Amino acid sequence: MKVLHTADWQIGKPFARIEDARKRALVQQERIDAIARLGALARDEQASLVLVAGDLFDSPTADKATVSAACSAIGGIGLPVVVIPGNHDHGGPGTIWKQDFFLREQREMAPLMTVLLENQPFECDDAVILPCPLQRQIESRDLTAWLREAELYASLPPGKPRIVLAHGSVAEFGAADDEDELFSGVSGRLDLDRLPMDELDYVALGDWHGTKQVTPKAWYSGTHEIDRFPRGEANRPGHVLLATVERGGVPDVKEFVTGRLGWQSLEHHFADDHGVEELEALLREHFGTRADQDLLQLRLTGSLGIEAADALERLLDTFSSRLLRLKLYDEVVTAPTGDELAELSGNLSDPLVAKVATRLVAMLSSGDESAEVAAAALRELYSAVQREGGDEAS
Amino acid sequence: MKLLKATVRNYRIHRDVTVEFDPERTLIGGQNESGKSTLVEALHHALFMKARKTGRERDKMSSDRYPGTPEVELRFSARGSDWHLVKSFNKGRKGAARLTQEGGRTWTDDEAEARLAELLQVEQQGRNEKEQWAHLWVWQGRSGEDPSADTQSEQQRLISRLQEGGGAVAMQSDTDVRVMDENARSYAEYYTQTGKLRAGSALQLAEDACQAASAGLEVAQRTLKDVEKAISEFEAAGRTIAQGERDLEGLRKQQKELQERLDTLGRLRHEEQDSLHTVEKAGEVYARCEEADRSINGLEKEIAELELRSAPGVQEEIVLSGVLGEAEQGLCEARKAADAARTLRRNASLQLELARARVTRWRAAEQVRELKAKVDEAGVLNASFKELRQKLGSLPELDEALLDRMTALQERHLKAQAALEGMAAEIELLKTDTDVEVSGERMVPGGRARITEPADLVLGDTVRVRIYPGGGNSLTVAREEVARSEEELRLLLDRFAVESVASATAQLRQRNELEVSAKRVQEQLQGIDDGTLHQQLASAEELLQRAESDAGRRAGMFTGSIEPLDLQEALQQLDTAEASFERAQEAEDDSQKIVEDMESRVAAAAGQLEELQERIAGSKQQLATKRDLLVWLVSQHGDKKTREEALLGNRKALHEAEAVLQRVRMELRKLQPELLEGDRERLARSMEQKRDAKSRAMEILGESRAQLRLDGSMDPVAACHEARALLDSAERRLRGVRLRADSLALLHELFSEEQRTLADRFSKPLAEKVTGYLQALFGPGTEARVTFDNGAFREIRLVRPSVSGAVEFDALSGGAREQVAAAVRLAIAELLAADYDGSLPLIFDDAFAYSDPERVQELQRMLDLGARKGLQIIVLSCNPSDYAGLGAREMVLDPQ
Repeated sequence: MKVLHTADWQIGKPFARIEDARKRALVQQERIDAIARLGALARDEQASLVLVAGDLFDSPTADKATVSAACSAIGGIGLPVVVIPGNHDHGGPGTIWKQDFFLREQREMAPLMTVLLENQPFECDDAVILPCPLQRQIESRDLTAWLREAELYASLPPGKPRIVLAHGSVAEFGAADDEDELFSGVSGRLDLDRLPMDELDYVALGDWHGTKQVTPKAWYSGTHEIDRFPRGEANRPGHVLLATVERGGVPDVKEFVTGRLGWQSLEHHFADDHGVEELEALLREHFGTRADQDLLQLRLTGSLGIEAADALERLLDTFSSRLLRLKLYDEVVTAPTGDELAELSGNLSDPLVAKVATRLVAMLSSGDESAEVAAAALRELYSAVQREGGDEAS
Repeated sequence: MKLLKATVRNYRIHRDVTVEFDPERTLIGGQNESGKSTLVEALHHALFMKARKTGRERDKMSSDRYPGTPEVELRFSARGSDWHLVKSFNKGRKGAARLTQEGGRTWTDDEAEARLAELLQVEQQGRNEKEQWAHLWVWQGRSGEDPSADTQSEQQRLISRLQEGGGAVAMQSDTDVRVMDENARSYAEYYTQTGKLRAGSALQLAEDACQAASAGLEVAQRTLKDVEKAISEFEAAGRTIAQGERDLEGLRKQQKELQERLDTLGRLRHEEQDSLHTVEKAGEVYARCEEADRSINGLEKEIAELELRSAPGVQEEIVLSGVLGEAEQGLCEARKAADAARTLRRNASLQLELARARVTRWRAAEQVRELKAKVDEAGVLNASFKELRQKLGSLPELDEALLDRMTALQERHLKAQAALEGMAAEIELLKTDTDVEVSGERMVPGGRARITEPADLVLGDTVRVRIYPGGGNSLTVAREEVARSEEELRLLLDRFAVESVASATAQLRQRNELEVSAKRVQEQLQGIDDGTLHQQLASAEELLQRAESDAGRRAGMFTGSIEPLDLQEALQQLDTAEASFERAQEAEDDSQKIVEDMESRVAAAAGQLEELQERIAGSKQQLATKRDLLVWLVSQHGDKKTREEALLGNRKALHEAEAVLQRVRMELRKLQPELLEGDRERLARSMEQKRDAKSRAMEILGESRAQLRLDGSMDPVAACHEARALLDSAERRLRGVRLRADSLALLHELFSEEQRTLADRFSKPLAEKVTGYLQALFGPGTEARVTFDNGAFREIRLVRPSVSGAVEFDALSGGAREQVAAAVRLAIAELLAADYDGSLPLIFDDAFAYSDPERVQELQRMLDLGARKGLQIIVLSCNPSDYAGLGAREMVLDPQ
């Protein structure tokens, strides 16, 4: 039978760092839209079941609007959807799974959705799901422990494939550390090595946001829609997995892309003022004339003259309005060019300006925070002087 | 430019006055109201006021005394030529001006005004003409004002001069000013004048936003924590409840066991009670038996003792009785003796009283005698006094005054007589052969006759000569006077029945003597008797009578008592009686003491005896009682043998009962009853606690459950994320704003500093020049400081060696201000003179009124320095002698 394995939707993630409200809403909405995409895929590929291996919601106390949107999207899939709580949306008391407003919406809008909160086997038409839900915020014991009881397997129907649905960290991986993680409860541990793999046919894992195969039968699906800046090539989010499983066999797993937004990380160093043009070219290359589709993490180093610094500022301003988010690490130093210096300090006809400019230039090399203030003052002075040039000309 | 000569006509006080100026130093003296200031004004108006000007200033020029148009004629040198200027201030159209260049052309009216302005290098300004060359004209009363205000119009020229002098020093450009102003404006958006952050500035707002975001984050975090807390409380409560159930089960089981043991305990306790009872009873019986036996034995012993003790008592009794008897006897005798002593004493007392009474009597008698003597004396004196008075009565009542009058009258009379005699004529008969008669009186030869009135001299019968003594009327008057005075004297003498004045004198003398004697006698009398003498005598006699009767009565009590014959004897008797009395008193006291002694001894002996007798009686009684008791006890409890047997039996019973008790107690101990009680309490307590904890946990469970029932209107986790992001962006924004504010402040600071440095370059040379002048006046160490700011000079300050720090112009004393202002003007004039062929006039109208005379002397040096540097120094003063040291050309202004 075919099953669509996904996880870490984290619906309701606030993306609070995106200051523009409209853009923020776009990024949030994309995650809901991706559900529809994977739903269409599941139907096309004739999957009989959709498994969400934890962290469906970003918070254990998601609000009504989030719940309604999610349930509606889930309902729109049109297939049974089996969900377990993850560490973000754990199943402890007072969490979303027990609240009246969730239960109501689920009943009405996603009747085919089942939330498994206990360590109990769940039988569907085509398979048996063995859930390892996180029932509290902090769980230090091995969530798969109950799967080692021999009696369990005796009670299961012999013909149906057995799929473990779990959320947590397998031995080699540590919990993902994210600047956005406020609530990084230590994910539960999953000790896969001790499981009776003969009795199990697929282990559908969640928590790690990149798609990854861990053992022949155990996979992380990764998040369906990218939700953070990439941390290296090995991390490949934005996918769902379609697993073909059978009782007693090895599963056949195919990847499909469901992510749409682009999250990129770039670096650029300014050796001279031309670097600004180079950066412009680079940015055009990556983003073309797209808007509202990309998020960029940009680290800038090096030094620029005053005018070049202004040009850089204008360039960044342009792109930040096109991008959904520009996360900037700006370590660029302002070092006036020879011409600029001549205009300021070498200008004998404006003795005060020249003297003040000379003093500011001297302060640039001090290396402490006064250098930063001096650089800003210098730029201010330069532009004030330039303004006159413009006026006089007219 | 120098002034050469000026003539002023019809200008207020001046009809026509001419002043010639020295090219270097001019001193114009004149009293107050001599028109010095008017002259100064006229010079200024000539140069700067339009001839056709109308208005108040022009009106003020007109003279009350002199009709005609005010006119000023001025010769001056400028631009290498001499000029002749005539201005006729005839209001409006009629005013005329004429300017002639010596050896050159002439300009009139407007052209003349224009040319003049050009020469003086000033702008023609109708309104502010008073400000023209204000730095060179020191008006009277205004010498102490800050001269920098007067240099406004010359700032540009000054700067140019200073620039040339200091060698191409750059001035701030327009760009500099613009950029600086822009920066100042931007800076002002963030900071106040004092450099503090402006409320409501962007920076303030950014900081506020950060605060708010921070607070918001705290709130979101708290909310989230609350949710987490509710969750963990819920879970904890659940665990507590489950555990509580288990614990309570265990406790219940323990309770059951405990109860069984408690039942056993109860039973054993009962048994213990019973056997205890038995033991007690047996003990009692035994004790009673023992008691009785003991009593009997004890009693027998006591009886034996008592008998032994009471033996000696009787003997003692006898002895004590004897002692008592003796003591009583002694007492009786003592009493008798005391009585006798008392009687003696009483007697002595009476004797004493008698003696006292006798003494009193004799004293009274003395008194009476004395008084009587006095009375007699008084009588004698009285008689004498009466005699004297009588004698006095027989004498005429003359006194000194009368005598004086008599004497005076007599004198008068004698005088009158003498006068008459003087006037009288005397006839001396030398020889005659007939009868000679004068006033009927025969005269004998050798006889004299005095004639005091017309008298007839009869010679015989035939010749009758009437002689009129000289003096005419006066003789008559004198004669009358004699008669009168004799009459008056006679009258007076008769009135007092005195023969003559001599006898009156004698009588008066007698009278005085008598009066003196009488007075003396009177005084003596008063000394003896002040009027009360008789009364005193009467009372003394009464006293004597009483004393006599009293003494007589007392003497009657004693037979054979000897009467004293006088006071001396009476006193002797008193002494004796007093001595006897004292002796008798002492004897009585002694005997009384003995009596008391005896009494106490008797009492003591009696007491002892009584005590002993009581004791004896007591013992007898005790013995009897005890014997009776013994008999009774033996009858009750039997004899010795019987008693012993009973004791033995009872002891055995007691031991048996005790053994039973012991056994039961051992069993009880095994049960550890004390601990059982503790166990019961402990278990009860535990169960209570567990129940309480469980119900508390259930409450918490309920509360948490309620708290955890969310309505989904907000997501605390998402809210936290958002709050944190908000704070981060607020902080980022704040950093940006702060950077801008800091950079503006830095620019502001740097511009201010650089501007100040630049300004110093200008102000220094001017300050140095002023310093040069001031040092001529105040000495080395003096320094002037000038501020150059915004293209203008202002804020002159003075540094003196004696004073620390720079003193502002306004803070100087009146005199110092005048001096410093003068120095500044000299410096500025010197600088400006370069544009005027190296010379400018500087006019000081009474400019040093507040300066000390010594200072004024030193001022000459400063003024002279100016002159040596090319300036034309013109000084006007009420006291030109003050400026003698200047070496100027002097002239005096006479009011015409």
